[in-house]
Formats: sequence, C-alpha cells, structure tokens
Amino acid sequence: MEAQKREIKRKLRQLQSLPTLPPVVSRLTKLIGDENTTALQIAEVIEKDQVLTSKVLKMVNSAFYGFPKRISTVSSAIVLLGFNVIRTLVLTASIFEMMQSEDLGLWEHSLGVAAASGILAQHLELKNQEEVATAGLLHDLGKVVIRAEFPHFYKQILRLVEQEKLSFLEAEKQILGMYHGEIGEFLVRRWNLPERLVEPIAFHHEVEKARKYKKETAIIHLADIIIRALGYGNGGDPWVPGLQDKAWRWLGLDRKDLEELLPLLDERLLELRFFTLEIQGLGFA
Amino acid sequence: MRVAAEVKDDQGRVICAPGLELDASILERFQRLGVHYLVVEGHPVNFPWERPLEEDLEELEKRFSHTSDPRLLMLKELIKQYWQKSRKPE
Repeated sequence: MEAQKREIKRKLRQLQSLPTLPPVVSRLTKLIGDENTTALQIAEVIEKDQVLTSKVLKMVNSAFYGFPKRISTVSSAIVLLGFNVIRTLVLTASIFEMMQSEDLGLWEHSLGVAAASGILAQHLELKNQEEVATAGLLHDLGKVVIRAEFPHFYKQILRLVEQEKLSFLEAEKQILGMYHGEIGEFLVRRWNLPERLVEPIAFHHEVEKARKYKKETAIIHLADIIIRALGYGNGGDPWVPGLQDKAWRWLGLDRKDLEELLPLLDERLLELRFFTLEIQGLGFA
Repeated sequence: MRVAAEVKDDQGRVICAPGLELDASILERFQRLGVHYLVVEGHPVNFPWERPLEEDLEELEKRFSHTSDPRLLMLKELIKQYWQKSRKPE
C-alpha cells in the first residue's frame, strides 16, 4: 500500500488530464502577496481574460454565497469576497467546468455543501464566511482527481461501493490506501491555497487532525452530512456519513439550530438547481 | 396562486411583499424587472427533479440505513418533518 501511495503522489506531481493552472494565477499569487496591491489592480489582471471573468462572476453570483445583489464587476467581487476566495475561484474555474460536464452529481453535491457551509458559518458568526463556503465547494476536489487521473482505480472504488455496500471513503482506503481528503490536500498545498481552505479539504473526514481551523473543518464535515442526508447531488455512495463527536462538540449545535437552518438551506438549494440548469444551458422558459 | 416571500429583482431590491395574488400580467412584469424566481404558497409546482413525497421519504430512510447515531437520527426526523410540512398540498 505504501508503494501505491508513493506512486499516486508521484503521478499527482505530474498531473496530465486535469486542466492546468491558468497563467493568470501566478500573476495573481504575486500580486496578492504584495500588501500594497489594491483590489482594482487584481481585478484588472482577471478582467483581461473575458472568459475567466464571466466564469468567476457566475460563481460569485450563485446562490451558495447568497449575496442579495447581483455583483457585476470583479473589483466589487474582490471587496465582498476577499482576495483568497477570488484567487481560489480563478484557480479552480477549469476544474469546476470539468465537474459540470463529467460528474454533475458531484458538482451538485459540492455546490450544496458550499451553500450549507456558508449558512452554518453565518449561523455560528464565523469570520470569513465566504472562505468557509469556498472550502465547501472544494472539499471533494480529491474525488475529481481520482476520477480524472486514476480512472481504473475509480471504477474499482465504485464497484466496491456497489457490490460490497462500502462507503466511497472505505472503498478508497481499500483500493488506494489513501482517500480523497489526502489527495485534495496534496493538490491545494501545491497551489499554495491558504490554510483556512487546506484544513477543511484535508480533514473533513478526520476532523480531529485539524489544528488551526477546527470550526471551519467541522462545518464542512457537518455540511457534507446534511447535504447527503437531503439527497442533494451525489457524493459517491448513497449513505449519510458518520458524524464525528469532536465536530459536533466544536460546533455546539442542537435540534433547534438545525430546525432553523433547514428552511434557509432548502431555499438556497432550490436556487442552486436553477443555477445548475442555467450553466448547462437548460432552463424552464 | 399567492406570493409567499418577498420578491426581489436582479439588484436585490424588494419589489413585492408576500401575499400578492399572481396573474399572467404580474408575472410578465416581474420577468421584465429581472426576477429570476419567486416563492409561492403551498406546493403547486412539481419541478423536474422532484419525486412524490412518499418516494423521497423512502429514499431518506435508505440513506440513513447505515447509522444508529441518535444525532443523525434526529437530523433525519427534522428533514422528514420539514418535508411533510413544506410539501403539504394547499
């Protein structure tokens, strides 16, 4: 298994079929690293690429961030969501595109977890709520990588889920010796995403490993459970994952909180259904 | 059919309070004002992704079939109650 893990990591270093990072990302990383950079300067870099601009604005205006007003410029998006969120959206725009076309169920699951994470972060009055929602959006990035880079293993995992009734997570561990959280972590660390995004992606199934961002990680863990419970999208198997005691304790939620959150989430999920139809070029009209 | 929640245009401005009775001309005006969706009382519309409530409840039970965690079973009960309440025909 250790040799297999090493082999997977070696292959991850030389990713082929995942969309490569747009060159604009390295420019953005440099700019964001400079504390004198303004939102306008960053917006100018993004806006040079019209396709990218429209992709970013589409995501920013989708229901999982839940802004009441339409955001029409990249600079206002940066002011509202912060540099890190915009950089992450730029970075992952092509990956989401691949998800939309190849695994709609996982795309919907990710959008749903993003919405639920944002609502939980707001309810718990966390700072950087948009970053928590973004972590929700990216939490299953590792599954996208397994599907794209290791299709043979991916099929074996699905077969185990189907035949042995194992969860996707258990099947991954059996086939790969590792799971999507570790793979996602490997990738987002290489992209130098902030730790606030890395920990929830890496540890949403092992919350006890979170060091700095325990609440954020616990939120993604619970959001994943709630979205699976509602049957929104497809997370790889049909069952609700186990709830970890630490996550529940860290969040300090009770029945009343969940009762309050369900209608809010239901409304967001309905908007997200329309969003998904819209980006697929379908509609009701 | 009545509006159940504030209707907002694409700038997030509230253009109508809950309670308004809808007709074709109002819907047309909403469309012109950039309204993407609105929430109405009851459950008069079946979306393409929706199944009958009984089927959804059955699927809900299946999704929880691997767990006996009381906190998760509470979540299941809350979802069940919420669906039964919100999807009750008018």
